[in-house]
Amino acid sequence: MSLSAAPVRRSSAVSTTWDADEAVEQLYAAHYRQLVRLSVLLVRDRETAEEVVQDAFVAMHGRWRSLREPDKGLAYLRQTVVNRSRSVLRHRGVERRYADVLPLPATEVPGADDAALATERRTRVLEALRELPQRQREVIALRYYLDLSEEDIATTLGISRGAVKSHASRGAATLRTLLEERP
Amino acid sequence: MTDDWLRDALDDAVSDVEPREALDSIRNRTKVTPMSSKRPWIYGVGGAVLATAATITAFAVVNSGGATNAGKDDPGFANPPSSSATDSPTTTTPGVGTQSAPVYYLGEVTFHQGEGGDMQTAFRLFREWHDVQVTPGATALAKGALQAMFDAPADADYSTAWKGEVLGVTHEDGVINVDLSGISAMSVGSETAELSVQQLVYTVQAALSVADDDAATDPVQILVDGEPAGDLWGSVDASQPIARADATGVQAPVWITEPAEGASVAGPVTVQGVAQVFEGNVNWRLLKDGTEVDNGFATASEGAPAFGEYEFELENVAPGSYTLQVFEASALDGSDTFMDTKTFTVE
Repeated sequence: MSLSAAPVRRSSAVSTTWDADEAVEQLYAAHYRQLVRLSVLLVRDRETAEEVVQDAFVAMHGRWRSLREPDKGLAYLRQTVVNRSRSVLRHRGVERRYADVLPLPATEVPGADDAALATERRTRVLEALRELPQRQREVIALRYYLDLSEEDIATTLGISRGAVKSHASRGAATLRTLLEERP
Repeated sequence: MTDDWLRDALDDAVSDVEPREALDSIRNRTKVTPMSSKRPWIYGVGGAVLATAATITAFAVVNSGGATNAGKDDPGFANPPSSSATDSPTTTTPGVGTQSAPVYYLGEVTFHQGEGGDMQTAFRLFREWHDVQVTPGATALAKGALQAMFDAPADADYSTAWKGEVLGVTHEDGVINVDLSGISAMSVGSETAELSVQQLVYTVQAALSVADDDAATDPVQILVDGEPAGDLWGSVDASQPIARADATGVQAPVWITEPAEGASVAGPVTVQGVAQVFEGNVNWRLLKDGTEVDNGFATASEGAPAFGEYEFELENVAPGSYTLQVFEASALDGSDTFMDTKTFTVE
């Protein structure tokens, strides 16, 4: 919208009058849960994901003066969540937590109820994601969980659209194989 | 080929994740102290240039010769604000009244890391000077500094995860004891927890140093209601005294120390800071209403891994509000890394 060559700088309808606190509240209300879920897809551990997303909101609050628009605030949050999820995976503490969480104890009950089946189904997908190279996992999560366009993913990750395409197709193919392997 | 199955699988995989309420915790970490109560000496000073010229050469550098690391390579350790400050008569002598105390906060930095040069974001420490009320005693300034650290930064870019009350600070037998109470279990990650503990160590040591304690880099024992704190945030062991960590990876590589956030200064504006950057090269950009009006670069007195000091002047700046960005241009792709920003008014 800023492409119109209007010589006068005006506070457009798109940029809000939110201050940093309001931006945190509004974006928290609308996106907190989804961002935590995104981070869970990347780091697996829910507590770590919550910490990553809270840190991202604190950082976004600090940057709000330069972001100023809800869309930019959300884009910044997404980018920071992905970056921080990546950083945190390098941290040994999380590797340990990973080890604690995995592998899922083999369910010894063949006739398990629906809840147990659902848990196993989810665990399989999260484990399969973990098998992917980090970049592929990030692209897959942004593409298929957040439904971002190739262009938005490229911006979020700071890579080319071509790279997004290839990571997405390789990641999807690997996941298909991994998830079809088991009965 | 449709990929709807993948969409469904991912949706389903996290559909049972219901995060705990966190808004209060985030709010606590992002509160800001209103500027009106901060740094009164910046306001209304005719010779504002003088007021902004921190005595940067007169670092209270402390080197205990021990395992701590607050030596010459760390100019950010403690450089009290200008002696021309209007409240300066009390700034260096412990006593009653208001004094300036160094206080560290967390701020986010972005940088490249690893072989692929992936963009990383992480918190690092930044420092502000806060006026605190002190009572007589060698450790009063440290107590005031810590309470300010618990409260809120002046710069909205910074934050603190600490919450609670500072009961007291003592320094005896080679250990600095910091007694806290009512510290809440705000949810932070292990990296943030470790940095927050160093935030406390850096703050108390810097404040002691300003108060002329010549063993200010002694390790810090954190107590809660008089007892060793044990685990902090479930990830930092505070049962024993904690040593100051090396500034690399803890202190932000680029600081703007003058002008301060929210300051009113007369032009031309002298900018000063501390930087740990390749060959000492820092870049800067001056923005007015979000639009770049000037830019340039400066060279710090020393290059990385040392922290050097840099200084440059903003000439021909018309009165108004400005945002200054100082950063290191990434060797990888030229992008802005390790940026610090200050917003200030030119009178």
